[in-house]
Amino acid sequence: MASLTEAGQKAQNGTTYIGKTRDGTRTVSGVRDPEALADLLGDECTRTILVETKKEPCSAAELSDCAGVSEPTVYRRLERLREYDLVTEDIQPVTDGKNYKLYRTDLDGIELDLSEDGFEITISRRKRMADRFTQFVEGS
Amino acid sequence: MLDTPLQSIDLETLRTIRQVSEVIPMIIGLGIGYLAYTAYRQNQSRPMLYIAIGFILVLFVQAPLALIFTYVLELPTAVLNSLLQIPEFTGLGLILYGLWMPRRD
Repeated sequence: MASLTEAGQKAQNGTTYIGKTRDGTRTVSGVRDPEALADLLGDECTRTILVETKKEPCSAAELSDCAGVSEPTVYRRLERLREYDLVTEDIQPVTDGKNYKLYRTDLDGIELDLSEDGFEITISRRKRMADRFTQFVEGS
Repeated sequence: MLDTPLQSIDLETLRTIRQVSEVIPMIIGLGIGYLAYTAYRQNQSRPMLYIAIGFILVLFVQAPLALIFTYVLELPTAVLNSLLQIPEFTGLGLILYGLWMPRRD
């Protein structure tokens, strides 16, 4: 992970190159500062959240248990991850009227490429097949 | 004299292989149908239900129906082929309907 942070710092010094959209991947155009993204991924708690939400949708309480940190910390990390669109939340209705949220990631990879213009960050996502099929049919 | 591969496979084996290979589109069709059904359940998307039933009718039900018609009901081939077209047409129609029907948010 040290290399990522280092790369972020290099990107800060050099030119930050924003990639073009390629097929099947979404590039960094939505990411305001790649350094902050690299910084975010340098945090162990954030990485644990991504790993756990990749396995299955998790609630904040479950994530807090897995990462061994307090729930407010988890919420802060989740908020930052949501800024980069790296996690999504599903609202789960519960019978007593109080809803809770499950967090999920469709992140497939973050690629850092070095070219003469600087560093290029490419975020690729893989949505669930059922969701892709629905989007294909409904066109949403 | 060298034997070409074609000469070493008799027509009977070839026919059996071809019949067994019917299972492949059935399995893939079942997979697509199941995926569409999951999408219907998870996203409450009615069009996906029609797509799911459509795929199952077009790709999955024909071979089992053909077996029943041939060995249980012992129908003549001409009747059999006509009957088998019914699920195919219905399925394709349902897929088309699923793609056409309006989406409700």
